Amino acid sequence: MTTVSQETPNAESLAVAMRNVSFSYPSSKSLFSCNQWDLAKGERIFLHGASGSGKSTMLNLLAGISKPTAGEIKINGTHINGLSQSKRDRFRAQHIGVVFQQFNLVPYLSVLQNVQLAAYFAKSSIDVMGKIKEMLALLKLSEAVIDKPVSDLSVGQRQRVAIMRAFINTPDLLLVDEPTSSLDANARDGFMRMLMAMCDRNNATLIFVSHDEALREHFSLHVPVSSLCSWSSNVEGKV
Amino acid sequence: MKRILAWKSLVSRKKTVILTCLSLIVSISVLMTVEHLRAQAKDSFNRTISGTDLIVGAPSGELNLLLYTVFRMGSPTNNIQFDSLDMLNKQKSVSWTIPLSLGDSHKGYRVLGTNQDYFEHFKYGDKRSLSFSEGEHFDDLFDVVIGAEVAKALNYSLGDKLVIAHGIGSTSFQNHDNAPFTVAGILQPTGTPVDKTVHVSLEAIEAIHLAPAQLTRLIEQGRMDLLKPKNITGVLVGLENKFATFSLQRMINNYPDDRLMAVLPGVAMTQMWSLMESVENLLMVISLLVLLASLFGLMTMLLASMNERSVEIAVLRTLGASPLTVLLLIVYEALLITALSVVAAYALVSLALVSLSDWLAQQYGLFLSSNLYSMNVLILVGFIFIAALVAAIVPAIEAYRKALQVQLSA
Repeated sequence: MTTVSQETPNAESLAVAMRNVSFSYPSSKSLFSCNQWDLAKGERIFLHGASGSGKSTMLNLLAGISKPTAGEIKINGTHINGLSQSKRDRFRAQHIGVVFQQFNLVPYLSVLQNVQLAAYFAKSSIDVMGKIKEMLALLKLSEAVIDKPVSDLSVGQRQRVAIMRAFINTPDLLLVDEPTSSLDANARDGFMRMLMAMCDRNNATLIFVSHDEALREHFSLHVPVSSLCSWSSNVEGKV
Repeated sequence: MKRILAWKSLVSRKKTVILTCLSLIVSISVLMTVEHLRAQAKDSFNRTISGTDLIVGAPSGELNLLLYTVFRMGSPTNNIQFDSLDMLNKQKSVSWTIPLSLGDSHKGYRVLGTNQDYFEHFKYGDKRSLSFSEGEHFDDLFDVVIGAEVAKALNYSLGDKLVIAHGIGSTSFQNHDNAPFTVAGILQPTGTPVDKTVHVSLEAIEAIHLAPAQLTRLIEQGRMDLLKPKNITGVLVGLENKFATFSLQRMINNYPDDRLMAVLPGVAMTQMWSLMESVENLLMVISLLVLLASLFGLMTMLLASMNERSVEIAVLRTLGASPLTVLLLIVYEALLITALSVVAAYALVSLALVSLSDWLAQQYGLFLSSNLYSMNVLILVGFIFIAALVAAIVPAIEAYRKALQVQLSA
């Protein structure tokens, strides 16, 4: 369920609830505003839009990296912009997984250490090694890669490690940011299959941001960012 | 995990990190060496004499008296009467005395006229007595006991003959050729001016200053009693009771039959060391400036890495690292570099001391301990870590600022 209406759904069933959110970058006079947006738990949504439409701003707000100047953002019922900086950071580590455009693994760490890092910041008590082994099988990676530096991996292996890192803390919400821009059609489809399988397995809500319209076929929900939020003046600067 | 992250991050930038470490190792080594040399010099200085309660000589200033009686430096301005030695020996509070007669030399090494009490009562270091590596103290009029360094430098052994020159220069035109001495004993090394001293009896000093014919006549007649000295340069005094020190000093300073001055060795030594403090401080300031330059290098290296690490900081933030964690990571890296440099510098200086100690002792008479550990070095290491912490604050704040501004980009 995604809605931009004023009707108030059952709060417990929502993965994301945004109410009257506004935000502006310190260096910009433009105001980013989202009136109301609800996303039900377990949904997978494809957010698309042209450059400057507010995709990055939306992701930063949802991840709790940027704090709105007004309004309320709830992730799985937690009012994240009401949390202190450190609590917001901890909440992000424990409940939100992120897959970046370039996968952004820490190049000097091994596969294992990259994944362990996410568990470390979440102060997670899970059996990290057990979960990694389980995911290695699901993502069709051999155990031999876990001690390799990520700089030695192929692009395909790196994308799977990035998925593994995003899922190590069993996140409620997964934010995926243009992950297929550097992949060919086959690799892109393979990546999408793995991602969807992992979301199914973890029952995670997925917000997938891209300007690649070809990916919308993987989603039942596809929404242009401009229909959820808007800039109140000319879009400029970092958006 | 933070430790692994900081370590791996440093390893990934190993070229700049190694160069920064090398710069720090050099500066920390200089600082440790200067501190060690200062401590060793002071220790060696204080080891020169111990157990002596008063030094008595002609009034010439406390430092001057200390310099020529203990360190064999400078020239005595005047002598005191030999009878004054008898007067001192008659004092109830006096336990022992050592007469000293200076003014002659042998190939640049000072000659000291004294008596058997010197070998019995003179103490150095932790009240250690003199001991012989070969032979024994002088028995015969023309016997000589030489210090370890004299024996080594001039390659003397027992039974060798040597001639004493008048004056204290290394070259003298007035050698007492008519009275050659025989090496009767060689002292163990002490690390003090004793090692550089040629010891003869007080009578021998008188004898070499007689005309050759007069000396021959006295020896033939067996009138050795006529060689009793009339003047000596100074006296080292040991007391039965330390509480009598000041009253005896006052009595000596006011002695009516001779012009005498008594000084407390400890007080004079402190006075002398305070004169060297400015040199000591100057060396320390130079070393600290070298360290400061290296810490600026560390700061620059960390600051310069901030741009290339912006993606890394963004990833850490997204994974849940707080800006404070990012700040602490930079501080941790700086402290890790400093710790590595301190350990390497400590090992380097220790190794240098172990391998160069013999050479320094032989060439320069520097007796340096190879054990670098001391409370001062420990304090210095603490100071280095605090300075590194301060130097890391600027790049750490920059990292913190970057961490706050991190954005995901789509």
